[in-house]
Amino acid sequence: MTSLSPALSGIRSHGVKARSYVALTKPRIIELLLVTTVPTMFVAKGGVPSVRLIALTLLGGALAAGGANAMNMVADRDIDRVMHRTRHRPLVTGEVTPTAALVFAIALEVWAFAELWAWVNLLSAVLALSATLFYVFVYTLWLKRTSSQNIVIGGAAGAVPVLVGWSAVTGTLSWAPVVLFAIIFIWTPPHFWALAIRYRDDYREAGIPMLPAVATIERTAVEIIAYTAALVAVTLVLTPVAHMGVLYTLSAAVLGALFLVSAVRLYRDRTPRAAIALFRYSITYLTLLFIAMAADVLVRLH
Amino acid sequence: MPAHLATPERTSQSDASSNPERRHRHLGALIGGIAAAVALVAALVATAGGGPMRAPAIGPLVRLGGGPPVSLPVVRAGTTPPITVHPTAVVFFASWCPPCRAELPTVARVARQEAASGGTVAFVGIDGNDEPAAGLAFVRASGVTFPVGEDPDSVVAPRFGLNGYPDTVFIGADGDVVGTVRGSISASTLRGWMGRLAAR
Repeated sequence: MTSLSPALSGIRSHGVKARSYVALTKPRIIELLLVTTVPTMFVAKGGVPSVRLIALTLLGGALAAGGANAMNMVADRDIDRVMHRTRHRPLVTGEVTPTAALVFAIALEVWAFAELWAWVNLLSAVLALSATLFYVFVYTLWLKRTSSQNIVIGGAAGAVPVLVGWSAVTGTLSWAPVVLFAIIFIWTPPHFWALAIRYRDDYREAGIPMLPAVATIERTAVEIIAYTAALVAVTLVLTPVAHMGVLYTLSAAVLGALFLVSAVRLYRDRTPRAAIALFRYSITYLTLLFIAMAADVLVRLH
Repeated sequence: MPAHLATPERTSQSDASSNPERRHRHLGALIGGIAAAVALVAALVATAGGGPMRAPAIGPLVRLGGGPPVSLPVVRAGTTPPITVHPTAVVFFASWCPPCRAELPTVARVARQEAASGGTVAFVGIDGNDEPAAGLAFVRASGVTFPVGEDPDSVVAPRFGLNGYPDTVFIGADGDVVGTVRGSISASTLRGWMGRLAAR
C-alpha cells in the first residue's frame, strides 16, 4: 500500500472514537429529554420563548444528560457486559477506557453547569446537576442493583428536565412544573417495564432486580395498568393547574385512553411482542402529549 | 422492597450484595443525595428575593408607522428633574407570535378605554424581532392607538430580563418596574395591574 494508508486509518480511527464517545451519551435518551423540555418552555412562557433561550437550555440539558448517561455506562459496565442489549457499548468493547469515559462525563457536566449558569440561570444549572447526581448515585449505584422499584424512584432523574425548562423561562418553580414532573415520573415505570419484559432474561442473568425479572409478567402488567391510570389522571390535573385549554385536555384524554388499551392488551397477551408494542406507544404518547401542550399554548381554545 | 416479591433471582442478588463494594455504594449514594439536596436548597435561596428593578432607559426607537420616536420611561410633560414618569404598561409583541395575535386586540381595547376615561396609565408597545411592515399591519389590524417602537433586533426585551413573546411590563411613577406578566395577558389581569399602578 502507499504511504497514505496510515494517515487514512488514523482518520478512520478518529471517526470511530468520536462515534464511541457519542454513544456514551445515549443520544436516544437525550432526544426524549428534549421532546419534553421545549413544550414545557412554551407552557411556562404562556407564549413563545426566545429561540436563543430554547437553544441554550437544550444545549445545557443535553450536555448534562449526556454526562449522566456516560457516568451510568462507567458504573454499569459489569452489567452491560452480561446483557445482550448492551453488549456493544463502547466500554464493554474496550473502544473507550473507563477513566477516559469518566473524564469525558465530568467535562460534560462542568460544561453544562457553567453554560446554564452563565446564559440561562443558576436554578436551571443546579436542577440539571442534581438530576445527574440523583441518576448516578441514587439510581445507578444504589437502587438499580437492589430494588425492584429501582426505575420508579430513578425516573425522577428523567423528570427533572421539565423543571429545568420551566425555571429557564420563569427563574422559579411552581405547582405547574411539579405536575409536569409528576407526569414524566409516573410515565417512566410503565414505559421502562414494557422494555424490561422484552429483556427480562437479560436482567435476570445480570442479577438486576427489574420488576419483570423478579415478578411475573402478569404482575408487571397489573402494575403497568395501575401506573397508566394514575398517569392519565395526572395529565388531566395539569389542565386546571397550568390553565391548559381544550386542545391539550382532549389530547391527554384520547392519548391516555389508548395507553390504557395498550396496557390491558399486554395483560391479556403477556408476550414480548405486546410489551414492545406498549414500549413503542409509550414514546409516541409522551411526544404527542407534549406537542399538544405547546400547540395548546399557541392556539388557545378555551 | 416488599418480602412477597422475593424470588430465587432476588436471593442470588442478595449474595452479590455481601460484596464490600456495596457499602461504598450506599455511602456514595447518601453523599450524592445530600449534595444534590443541599445544592438545590442553595439555588432556591440564591434565586429568591431581590428588590424592584429600575426601568432601563430605552430609545429613542423609530415609531412604527411614523410620528415622534418612542422612549422609555415615558416622562411626564412639563416636569424638570427629579423626573417623574407616567405609570406605564409596556407591551412586548411580534406579528409572527400566535399568542401575541390573540392578545394584542384585547390590550388595545383596554388602552383605548383608559385613554377615553382620562386614566393615568400610559401604554407603549415594543414590536420586537419583527419585520416593521408586518408589525405595522398587525398593529393596525389589532386597533392599537398607543405608540409602538420598532425593535427589529430585539435589544429592548433582554434589558427588561425578558426572554420571549408576549410580555407586559408595568413601570410605576417612580420609574421602578413594578411587575412583569409573562405570556398572554387577559383584560382582567391587565386592569388589575393598571389599578395597582394608579394607586402607587
